Amino acid sequence: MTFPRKISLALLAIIALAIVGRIWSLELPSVRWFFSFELTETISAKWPEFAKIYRNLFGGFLLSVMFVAVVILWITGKNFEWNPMTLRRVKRFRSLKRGYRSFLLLLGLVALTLPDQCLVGRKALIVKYEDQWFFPAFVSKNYQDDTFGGDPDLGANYRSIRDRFRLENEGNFVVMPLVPWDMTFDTDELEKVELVKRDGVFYETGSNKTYEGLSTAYDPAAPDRKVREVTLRDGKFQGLTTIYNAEGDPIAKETWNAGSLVELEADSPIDSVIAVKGLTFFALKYPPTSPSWERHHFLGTDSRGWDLFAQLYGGLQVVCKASFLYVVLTFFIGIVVGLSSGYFGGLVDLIAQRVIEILSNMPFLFIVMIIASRLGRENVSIMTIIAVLCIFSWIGISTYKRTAAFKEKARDYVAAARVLGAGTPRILFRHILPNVLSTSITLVPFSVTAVATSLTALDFIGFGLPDRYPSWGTLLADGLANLESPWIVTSVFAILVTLLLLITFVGEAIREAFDPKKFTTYQ
Amino acid sequence: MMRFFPRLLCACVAGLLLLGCDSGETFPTYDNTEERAAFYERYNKTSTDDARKNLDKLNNDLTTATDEMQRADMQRRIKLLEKRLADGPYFQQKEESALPANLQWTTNLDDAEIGSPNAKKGGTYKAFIPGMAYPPTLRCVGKGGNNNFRSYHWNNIELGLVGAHPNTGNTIPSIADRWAVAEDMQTVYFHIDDRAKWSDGDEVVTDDFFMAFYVYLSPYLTEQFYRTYYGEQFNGITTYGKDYLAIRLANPKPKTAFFANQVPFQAKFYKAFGPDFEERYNWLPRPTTGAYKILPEDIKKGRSITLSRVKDWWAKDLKYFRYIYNPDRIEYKLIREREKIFVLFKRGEIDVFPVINDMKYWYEKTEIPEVFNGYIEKATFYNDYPRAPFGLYYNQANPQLANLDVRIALQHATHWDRVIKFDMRGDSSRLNILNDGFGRFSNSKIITRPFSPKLAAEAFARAGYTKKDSKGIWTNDEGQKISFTISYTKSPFIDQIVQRLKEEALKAGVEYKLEGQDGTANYQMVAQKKHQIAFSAWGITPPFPDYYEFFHSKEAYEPGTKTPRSMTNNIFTYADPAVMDPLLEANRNATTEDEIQQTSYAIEEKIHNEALWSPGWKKDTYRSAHWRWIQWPDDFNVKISDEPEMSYVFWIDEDLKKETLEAMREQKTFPEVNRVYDKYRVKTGGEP
Repeated sequence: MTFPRKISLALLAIIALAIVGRIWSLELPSVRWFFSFELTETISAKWPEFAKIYRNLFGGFLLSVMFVAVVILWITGKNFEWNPMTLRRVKRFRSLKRGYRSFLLLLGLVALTLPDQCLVGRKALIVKYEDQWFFPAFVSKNYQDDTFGGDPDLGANYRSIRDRFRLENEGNFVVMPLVPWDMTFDTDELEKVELVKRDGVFYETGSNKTYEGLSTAYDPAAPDRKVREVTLRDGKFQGLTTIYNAEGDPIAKETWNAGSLVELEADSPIDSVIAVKGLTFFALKYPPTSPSWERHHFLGTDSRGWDLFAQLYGGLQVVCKASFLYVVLTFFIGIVVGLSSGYFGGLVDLIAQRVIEILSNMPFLFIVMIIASRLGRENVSIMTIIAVLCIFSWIGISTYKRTAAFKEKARDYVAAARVLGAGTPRILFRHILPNVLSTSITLVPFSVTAVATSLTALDFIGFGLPDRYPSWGTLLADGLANLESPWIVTSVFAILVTLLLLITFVGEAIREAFDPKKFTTYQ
Repeated sequence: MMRFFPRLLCACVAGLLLLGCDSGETFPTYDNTEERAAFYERYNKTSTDDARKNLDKLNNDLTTATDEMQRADMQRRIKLLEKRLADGPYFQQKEESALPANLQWTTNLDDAEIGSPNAKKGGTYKAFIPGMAYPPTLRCVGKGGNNNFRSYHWNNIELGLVGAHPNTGNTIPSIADRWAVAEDMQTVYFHIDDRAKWSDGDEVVTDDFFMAFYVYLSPYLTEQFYRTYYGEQFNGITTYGKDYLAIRLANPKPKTAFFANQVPFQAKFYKAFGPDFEERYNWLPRPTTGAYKILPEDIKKGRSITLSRVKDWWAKDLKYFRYIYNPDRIEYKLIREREKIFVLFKRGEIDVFPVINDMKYWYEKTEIPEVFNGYIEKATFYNDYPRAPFGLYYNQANPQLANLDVRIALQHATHWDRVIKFDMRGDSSRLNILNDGFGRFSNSKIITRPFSPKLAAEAFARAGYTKKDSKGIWTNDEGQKISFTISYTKSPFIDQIVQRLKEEALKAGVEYKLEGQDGTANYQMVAQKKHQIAFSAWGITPPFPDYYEFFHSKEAYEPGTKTPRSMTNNIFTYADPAVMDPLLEANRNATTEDEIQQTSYAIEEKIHNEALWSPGWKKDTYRSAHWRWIQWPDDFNVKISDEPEMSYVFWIDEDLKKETLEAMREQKTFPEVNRVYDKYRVKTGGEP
């Protein structure tokens, strides 16, 4: 089985999975993306019938394009033999350890994004309830809580169902993904950390540092009702304490100094020392919370309370998708325009160059802002942003291709082909394109870097994707606004730098692999 | 000669060009004195004619009206119109001798001083421009005049004829040192204090008040609001010489002098008020009757704007004014990010950091060494001020939102309590009504609808939304989804709130799409009623709650059409001529405080029954973190305030500043200061 045929079979498998998933209303990780396109509200209001079938239509369109690729690959792959040049380049690439290992790591990262909701998500993978098996993560249907013995009006919250099953211990269980949080719009409950008193000084449970800050004590009979709000410095009461009654109104104020009561202001007498003895004090942890294995927030949460790991994972998926679409689109347009203007010259070249001049003078950021405000922030999707990015990026590629086409057009083998009676399409596709294409590979990694950075930058200033997409840029902005919670900006920075570094190493290795000389000196 | 000609020519052209170059635009001189006189005549005639026409129409309608309530209302309006015509034309100029005899002149010097006798004058108060955007204009009226920054050079600074004492709420003398309310409870006579002067030295005269009315009623202002308001709510103004004037209200009102209050517009300064007003006066600093003026060199566009104390301010030794307005200069710097403001505050380049809504700053970010070491002090102040009605406002121009059950369901699907618990650190309470914090006028019995997916489902079912789509959003048989866009001014604080609401609404099957916009863009969109749901609030001011312009059918649609009327406050696009309009009119025209209370209560009930909006949170405190050289009176601030600086009771102690800066260098510490001032706390239940 030749290489193209292997690829074509793989693509066929993906198509089959996607179709199967759609027909049986399954949510199969990653392949469900094909059928996830919806029209915007305004358009679907105008053409409701079209809107209903749009999902299937667009998904079908994408799959048909893939199918065409499958067929082409299968047919042309019949007698496929590797070009010895290519084999040499691959060998050279593999010998460059840093680049090759980065490439493998990168592939690993991309492969990591494939499990999608199996790795990161709010829906349970498996639920066994009263001898029935459910797989909520893999079906489109949304279960109500009463399916698992809960409240009929609420949607199923699998994390709390899991806790409930554990308490009930009736043989029901829930298997959650490794990171049991959705990538966006999923906040945890507030964490209450108990303060323990050792030698008259308060410490956080499991810590050796005296507690500094605010603490609340709740009514032992009604754990939701707070009775006391205290300030602690060096683990002792200091400053203001407010005492609340049953309705939640402040009824008394106390002033403490280093653990001793200094002043009491109350309508009726309160024996503060006794009152304090019987109470347990808690520290409420508001988001952003630091990383905590027990609470499954492996990298902590951001200031909204959304899990950081989930958002980084989602951001990685977005970057991968965006890079893939971007590279395909940009290179396609760039190569077509570049080759045509290079090969045909004359009027085609003239028009193309003028268009390029106009486009390169348009301010990219303003265009993005205008489009986002016209469409409405929420209607902006990855495709929109990528489309705008593409409009401005194909220029670079086309310039390379144009020069390359000029160069090749003047070569002898083209003249020879022409003499032999080759038509223009044959010359273009059979002779010029393969020679010109090989250098494009070296540009791909740097395009990916560019799109990852642009997307992050756009989101950072608030003009990129809407908040239903997890995004590294918004995390970065959040992290910089909350530098006292360093885990946010550190993790985003780390993964961004890692990704870009890997891509850059790969890019360098490819460049060196494609270098016709064995040793190149830069001058 | 000919040899030098080209060079000469160049020199001449250059010279001409340079001469033509001005640092700003130059406007041709304009004198509106004649135009004004003609306007007064014309306006007198048209307003009298209009009143007569309305009177005739009402008399006519009265003969055919049968409904008792309608008849009573018409008769009331007829009486008011007859009085209006009897009072004479709008603008009248009389001699001082024409003042009526037997006027009961009164004043109020019995209330307590405002501020502290320990106040020291001097120093530069360093602040930041609120709203984090440079004001579009220095004008107080006209396009863009109603901006965030206006309070800081107009509302809080300029003096009117009378004022309201910020602790008792009683009327106190300002420019007028005595006033007399006529028996009809509609006309108020004022005597301008002999000492009253503008900051450029000129005396305040009655013509300045004529000019104020001229500006408001002129066609040269973009907003229609002032023309309508002053045309309808006032019968006119009469001057008796240069020191006495009478302002006539169209309706009898309690606290008459307060309602008749007017801020003067210096006639000399506004002499060039004409069709190009909004461009000509865009950055012209006004002469003022207040304590601070703006010097032209202090307007650094896009960077900062500074107020300078009027050194020989006419009111500087008067009771109620002598202990306030203490800093010599108040510098407002433009800083575009809240976090940057906080960093500059920690460095001492900003003196006071008010924490009003964003509690993260209070509970977490100000737990810093500067606070522990006493360099920065913290204060929590319980105030008694109308609570800004933050919430989600539903625009009924959208057909789905015009359905009552949908609105009720949306109220059940909006989880404000979670926002309060999470994002506000539990520091606020749920708001239930639109105008809360008005003491006896706020209906404390109404409890708004709680978050409940169950009740939301029931209400949606009543409206025909019985199925849930693949994402769990309610849909009806026509395929319409419960999916609305919330438009709001983008800021990290509000972003977090609406994202929390969005997350919780999904649990109830409602999809909120979030449209965070630039402040101006959002204002334009909401003013043109293009929003679906707006996250918004209003600046509401004491003493009486305001409902008319928010709910009256007149403000909802363009007359005679179904297109929502732009540039009005009725962002609900709500019209109920049958029940709500009469209530609103009764509320606006109420002559006694009991009437105001009654109608306010009824209006709030209607708002609740019609689920016109989803009330958010209310705070009964505001907090301030300030450097210890900013000193405050013993009870910290005045009761009727909603931010630390608006009453200007603070002062800068230069000696303390030196001491503090030295202590910071030498690592000397002071005891931590975190005080709670609850003297003016409003007990729950709404009773003041």
